[in-house]
Amino acid sequence: MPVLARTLSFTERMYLPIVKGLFFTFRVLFRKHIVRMYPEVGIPRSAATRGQPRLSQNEDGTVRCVACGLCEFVCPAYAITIHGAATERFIEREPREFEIDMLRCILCGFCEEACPKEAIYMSDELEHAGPTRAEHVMNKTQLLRPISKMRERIGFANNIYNRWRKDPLPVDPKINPANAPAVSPIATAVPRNDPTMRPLDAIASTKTTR
Amino acid sequence: MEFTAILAIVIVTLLAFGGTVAVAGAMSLAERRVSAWMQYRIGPSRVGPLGLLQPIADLIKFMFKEEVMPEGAHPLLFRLAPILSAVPAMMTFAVVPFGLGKITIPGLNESRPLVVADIPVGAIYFLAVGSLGVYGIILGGWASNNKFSLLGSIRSGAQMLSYELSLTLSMAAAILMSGSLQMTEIVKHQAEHGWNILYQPVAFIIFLIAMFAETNRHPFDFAECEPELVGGFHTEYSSMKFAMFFVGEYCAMFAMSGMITTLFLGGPLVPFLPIEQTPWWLSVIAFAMKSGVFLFLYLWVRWSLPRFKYDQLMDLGWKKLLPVALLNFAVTGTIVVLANS
Ligand code: SF4
Ligand code: SF4
Repeated sequence: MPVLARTLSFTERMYLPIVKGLFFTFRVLFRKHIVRMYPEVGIPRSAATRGQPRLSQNEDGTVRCVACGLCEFVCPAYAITIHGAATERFIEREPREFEIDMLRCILCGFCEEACPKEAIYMSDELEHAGPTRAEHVMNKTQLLRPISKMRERIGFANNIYNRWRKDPLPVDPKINPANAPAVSPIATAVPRNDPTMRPLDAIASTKTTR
Repeated sequence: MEFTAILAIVIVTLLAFGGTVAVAGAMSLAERRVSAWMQYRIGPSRVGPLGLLQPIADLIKFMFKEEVMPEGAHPLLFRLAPILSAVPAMMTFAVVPFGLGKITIPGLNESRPLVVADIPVGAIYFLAVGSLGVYGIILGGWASNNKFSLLGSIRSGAQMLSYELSLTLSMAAAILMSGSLQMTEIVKHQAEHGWNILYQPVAFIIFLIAMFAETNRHPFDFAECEPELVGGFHTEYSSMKFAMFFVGEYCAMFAMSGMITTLFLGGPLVPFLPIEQTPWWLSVIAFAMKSGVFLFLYLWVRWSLPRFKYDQLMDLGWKKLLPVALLNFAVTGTIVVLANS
């Protein structure tokens, strides 16, 4: 099909509108720039920022993680390595060593979703650079962050993942409950007070009834 | 010739040459700063105060880059092309008078006019040497053994040929006014009768348009043409060879700006100040400011306009500029002959 071009006026054929364009760019020369000087001025981050995973630390300095291994199991990139050990504390088990290889981590957030103890969370830390491979494998002490700093993210994440949970975890009070994601059919299919029923059975039962 | 006289010539030459290369370096920074300002950005601002040392950083980077030569490239021509592109561009500035009067070189007791070579056929020298630059581009594209490069250089060859005509004719109109091919004579004539732009506005505009095409600059940069031809003739070039093309382009821009200043805007003349009373440094500043305006225009146009289509380029060159330039030339010639008889 032939493309029909608009007939140009005489001034347009003489390329005169070019002058108009030139004056526009000249005015922009003196306008204020819209640049953020990045390394000095950081990027604004919110609770929704899914940065690198970090471990949360109680107020008394102890690790929240119980070394259950769920995050290690769920991690699609095999980035997490946990060595559990017994502890005198009430939780009985804690990680002796907890490593995340940040070169493997794909920031998927599965570990956060899997963790039953609010122990591993996606922080707002995004920058990571270094000349050697070894320094990208972060150990327990490097990963620990006080839980007070992660409260907002924990509330945000709980709001998202509560739909999979039988017993909802506390959400950030700033979040409007009306905005919460719809409760998953799996979570509702589990009878709330039936201690014998495990979520996996519930998955099976929803599939067969369909 | 005495030794001191030769030394004086060498010093003036080095002054002009160093000035040209310094302008090329400054332009590489100005290009990025101006483009940034026109797009609400800041541009390079980290190296040195206000980013002023960026050209030096660029140069160091270019020197340490790997030189890549594609398989099947012609080894000699591939190496020769950047030189052929940069050297004529640097040479063209030789005939442009960048100041009035003479400077006395301290300690030598010699004084030299502020022009490298004030030859009687300056205008022809400028055209002849300036056109040599296209060899660099054509050979560069051909020797790289890359079809995109070749396309870019063929386009550039056709474009230069088309616009050289209008450029020469508009230049000839200005030359007719002063009756001399010598650049200093043209300046002197303008000092007596007023700047040529007053008599030759049409030739000025034609020269202005053709000069963008001659230096392969936006909106006529068909030799590079990133969206269509990757990088055009310099696609395969890296390291200092690429830098040579780069510097050559800026040198050619500076020479062209100097030439249009000399031909139409009185070159180093300071307005309302007779030649004899102008101190040499003031005339150099006047020249720098006038050609600076055109250098800025190069950047301004580049960051304002989209690239022309190839048929538009040819249409503008052959169907619009050339007839107007011819007519202008004929009318000017007739009037000059009538006025002289
Ligand atoms: S964010 Fe994903 S990839 Fe990274 S450690 Fe957690 S589960 Fe593994
Ligand atoms: S899922 Fe949570 S509690 Fe379990 S090992 Fe991972 S971080 Fe620790």
